Amino acid sequence: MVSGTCWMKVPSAIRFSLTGKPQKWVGGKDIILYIIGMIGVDGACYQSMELIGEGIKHLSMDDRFTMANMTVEAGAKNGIFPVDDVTVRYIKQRAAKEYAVYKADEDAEYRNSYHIDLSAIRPTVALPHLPENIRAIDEIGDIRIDQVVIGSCTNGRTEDMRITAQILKGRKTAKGMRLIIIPATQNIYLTALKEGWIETFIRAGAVVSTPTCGPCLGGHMGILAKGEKTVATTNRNFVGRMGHPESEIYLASPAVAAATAIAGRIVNPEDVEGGL
Amino acid sequence: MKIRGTAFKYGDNVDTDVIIPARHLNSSDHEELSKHCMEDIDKCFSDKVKEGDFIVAGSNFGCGSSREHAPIAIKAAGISCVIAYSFARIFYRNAINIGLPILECKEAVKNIDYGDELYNLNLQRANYQ
Repeated sequence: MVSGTCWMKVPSAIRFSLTGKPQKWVGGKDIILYIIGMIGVDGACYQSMELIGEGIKHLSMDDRFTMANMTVEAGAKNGIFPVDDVTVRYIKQRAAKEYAVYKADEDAEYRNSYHIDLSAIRPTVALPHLPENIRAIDEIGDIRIDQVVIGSCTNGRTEDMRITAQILKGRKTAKGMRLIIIPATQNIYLTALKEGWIETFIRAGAVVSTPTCGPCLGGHMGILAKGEKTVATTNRNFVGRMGHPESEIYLASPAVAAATAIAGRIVNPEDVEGGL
Repeated sequence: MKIRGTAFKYGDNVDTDVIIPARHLNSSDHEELSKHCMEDIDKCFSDKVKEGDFIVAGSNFGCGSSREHAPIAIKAAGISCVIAYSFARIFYRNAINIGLPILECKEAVKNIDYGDELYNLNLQRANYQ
């Protein structure tokens, strides 16, 4: 930076063609965990991940942000989606300047191509201590959880707050459970306030924080003690990241996280809907 | 520049949270960071490491956070070079930007064990004995 220049290494690209419609309670987090599980935490090392296909029309901007955010956990330089109606609607609400739309060349070269059927993906959880260590919710077994964190740059967006409120509404967290909810920005916080979601969170037994990275990297709030287990909607579950080196982090979507806060163990949101 | 030292060997996916745990990031003092380098996977590291030593590891070394503290802690600990199968992208860039030598060499990783003495590592010629 002293020289005013920055060196750039052009990445090769990997293409992920998404088809089908995701099941209920399956969102961007489940899909990206599934992809990381498939290619591994260095599967896209210093490469660009392009996510294309008719399936993306089912993904909201918030889903896409979560996925792009976590392509880094597969080693990628970036994760990009083509611009479609969903993107344009989003940009029109926000762009303060003229914008240009770029798309991949017709004859672009890809190091690798994968096909993913979104309709086959179940709510997905990454077990300690790597984001690639994934299991479908149905294969999790009985894992008791001490703390749930919903928020972060990965999953603290408006839609994440809405889904969390939907699941927590009229319910209470399990005995002994610490539920921490962190809207990612002041704007999202305000939306949650106006929509009444903050009240839903607090009545369910949650602690709501001002936007912060906080517990994601063991910074502050909800630092895990020895032997404690957390479900977090954050992006990494490395040894000691959220506290004691002998604590455990399970990565999941806000839906699975909120359901887990109620059940006290990792569960499918469907189970909470049906009544525990 | 020829370097000699002892190898500290680790496995795949050594992440930035174990290279320098976030609980120590409230300091940006290089020496303070170096005292906690690798402590969550190798408690003896900071006691044993001396100027010129090496870290040798598997694939995807430095995955995780973008924290520059990770290569800074390694460099401040006296490590002369990290040799790995491969490096995670952000660590790779940070290491170059802060001036920590890194080397991708599968053969070296395969043949070096924890505690091995390495000598005559020549970074200009990128060979070793």
